[in-house]
Amino acid sequence: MKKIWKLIIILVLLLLLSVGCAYRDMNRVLFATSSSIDIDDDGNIVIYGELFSAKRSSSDAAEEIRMIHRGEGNTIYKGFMTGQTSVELPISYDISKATIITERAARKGLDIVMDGFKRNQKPSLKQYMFICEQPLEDIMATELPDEMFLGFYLESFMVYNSNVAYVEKIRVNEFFNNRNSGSHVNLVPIIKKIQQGGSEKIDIDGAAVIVEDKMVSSLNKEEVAVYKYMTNKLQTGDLTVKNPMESDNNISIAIMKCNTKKDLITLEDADTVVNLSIDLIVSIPEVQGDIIMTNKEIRDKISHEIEEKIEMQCSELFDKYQQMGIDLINIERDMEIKYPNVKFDINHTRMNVNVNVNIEGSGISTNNK
Amino acid sequence: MSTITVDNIKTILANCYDVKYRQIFNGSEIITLIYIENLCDIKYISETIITPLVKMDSSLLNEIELINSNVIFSSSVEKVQNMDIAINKILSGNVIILASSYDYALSCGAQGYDKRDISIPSAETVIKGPREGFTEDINTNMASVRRRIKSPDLKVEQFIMGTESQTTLAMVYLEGKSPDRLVQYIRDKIDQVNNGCFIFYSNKLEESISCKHTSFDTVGYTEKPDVAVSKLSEGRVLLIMDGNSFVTTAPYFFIENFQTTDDYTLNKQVANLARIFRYMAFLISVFLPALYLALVTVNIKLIPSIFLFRMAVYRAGVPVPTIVELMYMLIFFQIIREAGVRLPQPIGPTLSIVGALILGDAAVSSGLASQVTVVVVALSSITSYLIPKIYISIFKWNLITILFTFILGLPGFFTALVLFIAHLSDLTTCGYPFLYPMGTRKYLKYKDVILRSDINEIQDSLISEGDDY
Repeated sequence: MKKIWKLIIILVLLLLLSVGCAYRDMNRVLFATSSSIDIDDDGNIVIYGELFSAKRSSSDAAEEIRMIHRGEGNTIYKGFMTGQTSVELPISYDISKATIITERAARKGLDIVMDGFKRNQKPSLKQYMFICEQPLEDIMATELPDEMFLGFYLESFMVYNSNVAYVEKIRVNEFFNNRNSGSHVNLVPIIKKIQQGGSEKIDIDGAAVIVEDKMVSSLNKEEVAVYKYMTNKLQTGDLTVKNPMESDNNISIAIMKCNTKKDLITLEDADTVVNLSIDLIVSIPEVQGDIIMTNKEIRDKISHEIEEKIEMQCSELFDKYQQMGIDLINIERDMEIKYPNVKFDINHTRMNVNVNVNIEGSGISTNNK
Repeated sequence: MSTITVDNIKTILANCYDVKYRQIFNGSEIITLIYIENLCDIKYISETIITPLVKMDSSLLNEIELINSNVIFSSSVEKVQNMDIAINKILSGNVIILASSYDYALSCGAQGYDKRDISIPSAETVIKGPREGFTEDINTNMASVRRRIKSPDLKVEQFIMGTESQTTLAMVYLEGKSPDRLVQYIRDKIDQVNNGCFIFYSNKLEESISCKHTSFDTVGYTEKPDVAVSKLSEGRVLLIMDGNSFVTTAPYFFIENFQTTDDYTLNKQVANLARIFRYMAFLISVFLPALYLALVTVNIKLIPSIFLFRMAVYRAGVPVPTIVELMYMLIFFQIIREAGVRLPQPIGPTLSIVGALILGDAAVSSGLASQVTVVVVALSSITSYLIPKIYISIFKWNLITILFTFILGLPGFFTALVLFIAHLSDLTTCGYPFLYPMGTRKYLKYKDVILRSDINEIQDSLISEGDDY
């Protein structure tokens, strides 16, 4: 009898200490694979959800159904709640893979949009964030040839293609980390619907620069690659330089490994100097025209051109955002760690870029026309 | 106490048509042989007792010792002066010889009844190893044990169980190997339970030795003499009861559920791999249904989304909640298994196949269950076949873990897991922890727990005198 009482007490305690019964059957739930958020001209928040539903069918096999639902309200929570009135089953945002936010909403301020992710335990913090410059209706209506759900497509893209130099990825939890540290700068990839090969596709077209939760600018694809050089995020990439033996032709450079080190020095006149040291291991996958790779002079010329090009691109990007007063590569965070008592000012910061290129992998390449 | 006379015996054994009274006249003396026809070897009685008595010189009748030594050829002859003993001897298949001038009787061993031949046990099959099994005859079983251990340390204590059934029970142990404390503990338990009129099965004794309020066996059994003697060699005690084709072993530890004869006769690597499979199968069979329930109903974030959607599609036509679906599928499989066990040998396996394949497929087609649930329940049931001795316990703990998981999801699942381990840790067998040698505070005899070491390294007794556990 004592054991039975102990068992009852354990059960009651567990019920009291837990969130309670969270039982639900998976076929009685509409799973959102992605959600899209916009703020209209009246300041209302408009939410679109891409929903998965399993439906009974007249045949033996059931069917996967994709639905788009819309909710609207003056808060994001109200938007979710009003969206619930037009669907049969409760909507679950537990497994949502992507959150797409319009440029308009991003420029007004993401603090309103993202607050729900912090306070509500249900939405996944692992989902990827995107900015969209086109109308949400268009994006949500995209019919991808190889994937029924946009959320899954975007997640797969980020998982398997994020090492591409032109793609910057960010998850919701990373967004929250960045907005609370250093220069409060986030880079969120921009998606664009395109027509290609007779079908609709989603393209990653640069990244939006979010400062203090507001979108202030955007980077194009090339600038995203440069940003990744500077922040040690680049895994693979490519460059094109002139063929030193035939100036009308180009050489493709494949970046096999990139290692960037950031070194900070504060000077007595309160200036900060950032020394970026970028070590690249590259190979040459393609040469237009002839080239003799055994010739050290030619190799040095190629290396030098690569170094110059990257140094110039990095300096330009840094200067561009310094003029806007934006610490794009989050130097402030490194300052907080290294010099916690020194006040950081991006306008009193200088950057030196030093690129070292090591060409590997190619032998003599001649007459490859 | 009445005198041993033919009339008195006839009174006691009245209405027993199988009791035979054979009279022999020798001179002026009437000699009566009393025996039960079905329990005795009639040819043996004729040749070794009746013929010599008929041909005997009547002068020898006055010398009981001379009859014993010079006349009767029976292998065992003893003088009986007690009526109760005489009756017991008759009922046990002996021949009682009474002469009109004697106030005592002679008892001659002449047992000879039909018994089942030694056969291969159906429940403990082996790939490589002895196939001999126990029978229902205690003497045959004892012979099987004696044949394997030719040591004077092998002790066999006899107990007569049940005042009416007078069933013979032998407690077998190896002196010097089995701890005295253990032998005395079992001896006391036998005395405690020996209070009924009829004791036919050793289960009455097993229930008194084993732990209460658990579905796990804390007393073991085996149908194979080679297993029985290996248990003896590890310091355990055997209980062999007449009329039972298996032998009770005590103490019985949890790890024994995972050990088979093949573990010690096959290649070590192969045996260890098979044993790992058995442990994995046990975990799968106990916890898989509850884990599945937790993942598909509460903690769905932990399932890969593609698979989650596929499962949702499979479940689309199922009209009942997952918990109900899981419960009735588990019960279906248990019913099929039970039917397979109880039915005659040729039909049982057929029914299992019909049940598993046809019913499982039909359940999915009719929308009673989803494919994934059938796979989970089937996997849980099939894996429990690897440890057949505890399949009912597995089913019981399936239900408990499912209940906890239904209420709380994964936290409930882990609570049930802790409860399960606590329950096992709480059990004892003959004073030893049920989880022994794992549940020990002292020297861990680990060489035959999860994996087995070389045979020469694990020959030490598992339990021995002076063990501190």
